[in-house]
Amino acid sequence: MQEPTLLILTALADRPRHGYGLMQEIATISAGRYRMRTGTLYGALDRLLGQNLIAVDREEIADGRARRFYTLTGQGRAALTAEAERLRSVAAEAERRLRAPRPRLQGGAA
Amino acid sequence: MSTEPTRLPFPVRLYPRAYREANGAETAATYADATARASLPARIAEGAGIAAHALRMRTGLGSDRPFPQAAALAAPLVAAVAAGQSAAQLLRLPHTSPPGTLDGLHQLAGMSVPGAWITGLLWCLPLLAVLAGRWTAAKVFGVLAASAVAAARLAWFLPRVAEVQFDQLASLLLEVGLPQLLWAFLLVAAPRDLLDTSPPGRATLPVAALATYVTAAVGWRPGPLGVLVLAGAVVAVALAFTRRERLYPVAVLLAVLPVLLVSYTSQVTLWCWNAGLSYDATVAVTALPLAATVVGILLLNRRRAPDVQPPASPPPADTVTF
Repeated sequence: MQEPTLLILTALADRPRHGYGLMQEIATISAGRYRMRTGTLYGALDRLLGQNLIAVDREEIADGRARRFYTLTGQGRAALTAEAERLRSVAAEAERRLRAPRPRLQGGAA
Repeated sequence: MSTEPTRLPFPVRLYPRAYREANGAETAATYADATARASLPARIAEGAGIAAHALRMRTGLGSDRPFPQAAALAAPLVAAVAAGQSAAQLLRLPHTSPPGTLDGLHQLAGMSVPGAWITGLLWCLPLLAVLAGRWTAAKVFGVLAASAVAAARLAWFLPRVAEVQFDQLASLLLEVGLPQLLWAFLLVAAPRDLLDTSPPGRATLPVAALATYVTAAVGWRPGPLGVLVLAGAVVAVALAFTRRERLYPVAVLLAVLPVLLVSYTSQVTLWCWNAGLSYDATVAVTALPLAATVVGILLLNRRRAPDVQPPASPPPADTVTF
């Protein structure tokens, strides 16, 4: 799963969000490392809607602006769960190996 | 959520009518939020991003379509392979015959030595940009490099146009940088939201560039080593079948195809001539790979996109809401 997809699904994991809310949440989740632009966001949302990983939760007008809230589908939740599990197992293996004693280098200077 | 088109910001008005009527108001609201209190460069970047998405919608290059998904898989490889191929071309520049030409092509389709250096170095820039995680810069450099190749070849060709028979124009057009244009098209067609930005994904690219450099540098001379480039391409495509993404073999094939065209077009032309084929048949044979690629891309993009990431377990059918 590419990072933009992972970030969008993660941003929607706890509650539905609208477009600008997603952009802000993605910046927060990635600690400001990833800033998604409007055009990129809606390209990704179109794809994720087509793949049934997300769905439109509701539409409303707030402060005179049209808001469409997106939410994870069951399929999206399953995909995010599987990706989180994969990342967790890789991280756990990396930590286990880092904790293991390092073999001494052979043939060093006397 | 429809809105009067004239009340929408200019970039949003570029969307196709149906999409604009369904999503224009919401996109305009997000655009307004994203550009509030933003600097002028940030506003321009936001607007350009929306315009690019609108153009994708109009040209069938949205990230929900199969070809852009393949292009996104191919784009990192394109940057690596193009850099390796260009570096190998620069290395062999003093040894080309006749002087000042590249790719083993005949003199009229060649380019000047300064042009070869500039275009060769330009094609190394997309790889540097990708390694730095700057995909927009990589796309710009790719378009610049492909344009420079076409311009350098045309600059070489135009003063000699009087020497050219009219029926030679077709083969000359085939050789005026079309493989490099395919590379640039793949970079541009790759949607930003599908591009690999991870450090592990980028870490393999110098290896791919080095492998391309070695095969292209060693295998450019006619003779037994001449099959090295073809063998390298076959191995790369074969390895792509070991990846989980169904489109990855297509992506690798698209990325290495320009290397094959640059390496073998003149050789295939020579074989055709020696076999007694007519001029038209020879042009048809040499044009076949690119023509088949164009048809293949159109056919691929008509199909429904495969799911990028199937879940590990059967998902529940209902929508999760909070």
